Amino acid sequence: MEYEQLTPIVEELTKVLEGKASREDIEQQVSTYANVYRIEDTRRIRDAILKKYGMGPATDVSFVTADHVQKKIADLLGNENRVDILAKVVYVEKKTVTIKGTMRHLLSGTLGDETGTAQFTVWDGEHCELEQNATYMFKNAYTKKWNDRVQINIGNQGAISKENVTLDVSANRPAGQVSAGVKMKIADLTGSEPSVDLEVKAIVAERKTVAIRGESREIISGIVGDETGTAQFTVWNADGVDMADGCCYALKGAYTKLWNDQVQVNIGNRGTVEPIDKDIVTTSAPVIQPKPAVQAPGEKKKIGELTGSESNVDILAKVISAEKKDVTIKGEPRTIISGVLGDETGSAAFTAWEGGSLDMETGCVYLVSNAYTKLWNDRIQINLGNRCTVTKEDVEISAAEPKPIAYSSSVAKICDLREGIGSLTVSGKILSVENRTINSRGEDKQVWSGLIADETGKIQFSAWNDFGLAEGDAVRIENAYIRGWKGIPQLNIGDRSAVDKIDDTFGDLSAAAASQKTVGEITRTGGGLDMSVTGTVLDIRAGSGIIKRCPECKRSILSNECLTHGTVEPVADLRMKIIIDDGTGAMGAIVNRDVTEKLTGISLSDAQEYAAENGESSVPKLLGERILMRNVTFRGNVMSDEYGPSMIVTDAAPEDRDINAEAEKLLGEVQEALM
Amino acid sequence: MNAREVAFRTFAGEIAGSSLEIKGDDEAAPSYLITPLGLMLNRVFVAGKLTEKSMKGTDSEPIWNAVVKDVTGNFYLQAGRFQPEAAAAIADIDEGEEPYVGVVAKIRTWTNNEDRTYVNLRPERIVRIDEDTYNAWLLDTAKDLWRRLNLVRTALTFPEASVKELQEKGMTESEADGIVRALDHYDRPESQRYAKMLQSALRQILPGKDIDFGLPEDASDFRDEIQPAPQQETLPGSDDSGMDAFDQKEFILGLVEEFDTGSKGAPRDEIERKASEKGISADAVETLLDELMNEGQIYEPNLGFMRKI
Ligand SMILES: [Zn+2]
Repeated sequence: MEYEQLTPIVEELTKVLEGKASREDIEQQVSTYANVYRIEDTRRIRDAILKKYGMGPATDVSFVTADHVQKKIADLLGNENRVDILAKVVYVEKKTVTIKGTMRHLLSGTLGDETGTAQFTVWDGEHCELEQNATYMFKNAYTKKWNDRVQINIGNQGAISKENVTLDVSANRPAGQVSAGVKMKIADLTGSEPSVDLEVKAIVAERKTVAIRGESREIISGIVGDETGTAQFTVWNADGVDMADGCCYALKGAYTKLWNDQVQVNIGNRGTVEPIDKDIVTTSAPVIQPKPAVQAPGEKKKIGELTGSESNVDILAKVISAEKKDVTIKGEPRTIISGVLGDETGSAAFTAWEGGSLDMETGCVYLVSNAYTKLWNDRIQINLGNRCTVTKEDVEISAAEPKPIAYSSSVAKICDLREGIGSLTVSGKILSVENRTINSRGEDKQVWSGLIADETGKIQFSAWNDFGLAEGDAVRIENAYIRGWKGIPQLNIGDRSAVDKIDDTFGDLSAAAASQKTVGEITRTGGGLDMSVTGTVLDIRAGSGIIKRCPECKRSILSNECLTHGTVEPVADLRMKIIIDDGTGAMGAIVNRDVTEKLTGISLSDAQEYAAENGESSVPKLLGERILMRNVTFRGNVMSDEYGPSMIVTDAAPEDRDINAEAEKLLGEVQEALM
Repeated sequence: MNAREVAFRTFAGEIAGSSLEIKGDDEAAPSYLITPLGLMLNRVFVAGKLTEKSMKGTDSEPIWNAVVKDVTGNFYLQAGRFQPEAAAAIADIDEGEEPYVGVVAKIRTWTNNEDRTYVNLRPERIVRIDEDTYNAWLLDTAKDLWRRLNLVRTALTFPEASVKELQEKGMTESEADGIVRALDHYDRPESQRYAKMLQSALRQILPGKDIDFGLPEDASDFRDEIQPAPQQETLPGSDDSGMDAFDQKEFILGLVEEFDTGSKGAPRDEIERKASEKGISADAVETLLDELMNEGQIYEPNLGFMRKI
């Protein structure tokens, strides 16, 4: 940031911090925040520096846990990092303790409000006086749980001010787990309440033992009701909870979810069930009140943008044709509407599965919300299911000619290709191609195969027709499909594929960087050609070091016997079998002699000399000392088998990274979040 | 697929706070220690200074114990006959220099009869590393920790997140599964604790930077180390009874109950007399009785007589 932009806050801080910090100090700190932590908002820089001198707003470190709020004692959970509490000092005493060898004066005792009481500690008791029976606001307190009781702590970020109010202290339970929820009636539940309090009658309550993630657990489930409706419920931990049919209970801190469009009430870890002395009249029968699902809006798309895999999409389109049909689905008669929808980008077939209650007029425009799409014989189908709403819109749309979309294959980059994908469009440049004749089912067939690349990676292709592919051509291939071989995806260009030449925007790809992946990504995709991965070498395995090879077939042999070539004079070679792990996954790698020598600085002849002195079995340890725990970038082809992926390394180099720059970037991110 | 378990980069502090273990269904299935941030640990990659080592067992079957210290705490290593290479490597390392080491290890836990879980590491590989390699580990570990904190923050935006909901937020299945289990078992993590680990790591990597997150460095973080002060100072209500104020109050409350034999209540002077035998002054008794009244534990049904509520 420019110095001029920073001058005003430097001046302001110099004034405010007079006697505490020099202008030079302040300038330096401001510049650190601006240029090292890269914080652009000058007000935040100012606050951060003020805070260092104990003058600014306190740090909010509650970015993960509870927000900074004022709470009643009964609502404290024991994990608040920053909470304001208005409470009466029920009891206080001074204490002197030693902490790590240093004497400290503390204040401790009991705080109370109308909801309960809790123990508290003021950690700087030397500069603090608290009057018994007076009420104070404790700001920026934090809480911990100790022997299942919440403890309130006022640390060096805290502030205490006397308040001129009287509080009735409840003799209630000490602050515990339960957080109060919003009081509601069943009919008002939407299925998304995070914390709700209900007074209900248990219409049916059944205790069951279920397996949850392999652990057996007692739950209570059934149906509860109040004057407004009924709902299914589950108490997820039935230890110490007893519920009987026909009795009434207060459910506190429950949360709700939607299940098949019906609201379910859940009492989890943070909820409680208490019997109440009331008789609640429920609606006569345990009828489940269906609540309309609160549906998130779908992604807005034009028809031309649909890929056939949308699960929740909103489309504004004109009905080009529509027809009601009576069909039988799973034995039940149903009315559906099917036809064609269009907009300025294209058209597609649609089916409204709840067509009985719906009218869709030809020539009218509708907003179709929460639809989903599928591919059927390479064509997009728009489906209007039971979550879907259809609204007539008073707008004009000039729909594209009502022709079905020829096919719509999804567009993919080469690095994203994996086994089993069909119907896709890939653009790239042909790096090599050769024409062979193979024999398939007794017939001679010609195949054009080679390598194609884009800026994200390379892949082998096989074309089963002559598309006139030539080295150096930039092409778009539509309707190709992927087959895998040992985890390495291969692009197939078949009878239904189309190949067009396009402008070459790729430049020279032959020397381009290999496709950079994490081990986790490679594990998921299976493998590929010329990939690059950076990870830590975490093991060097058996089979590493000096090995013997048959001079004829180059296979590694244990003695002087090759299975194919009999007794031979073996040739010595150096290699490593290692494990690369980057924290997202682990994979094997085989490193040849050249790369091993380059990475470890130990040549085959060095290794042989070392072996002559210490035995051949000591060589892996020697190599390991040079490479274990190091971060290395590897390049090579990756194949997969049942033990996961493994790379045949063609090149490797120590990871090229600037630790300080990365650490400063992380520092900036953390500072940003903490401020 | 029988893919190898990932070695997670983890600080000692995160492992130390972990007590949830899930065992595989059969012998061959891996078991995992789940940290409060939802990391499912089977294998770890850790680093630090090797500060202590000791040998047990026999010369032919040695068992090596070692302590490796990172910026957040200690890792406890044990290598025996099933970790011959690591055991030999520990034997070769001179702990006097406190060299940096990198360790790849499997997690082992046991729980004592007080239900406390201990974690130690069975090293597969341990080698000396230089400070740059240690710093690279610190950075990678800090980055991973920061990522996890943010994943947990995402998970906490749901009332009770499911694996599926978290996967829709871009987490992998095992990240989501770990976080759901962790929140279920540990509840919300203490973010300060982890922010302090990040601070310690960044301070080590960037020593010139004077890094200060402004986190409270409160005495309560060291609760286990708090000792009662030696009784050299006279504190209000402390006298020379050898009891602290809490004990004294309990004692007085006991007297109120003990002497409440008649219809009027426990006589105040009896309480004072009994208390003075324990070295509690009359003034202190008065203060304590006042406090007990204010706390709603006793009342004065008749002047000079006390009764428990
Ligand atoms: Zn041979």
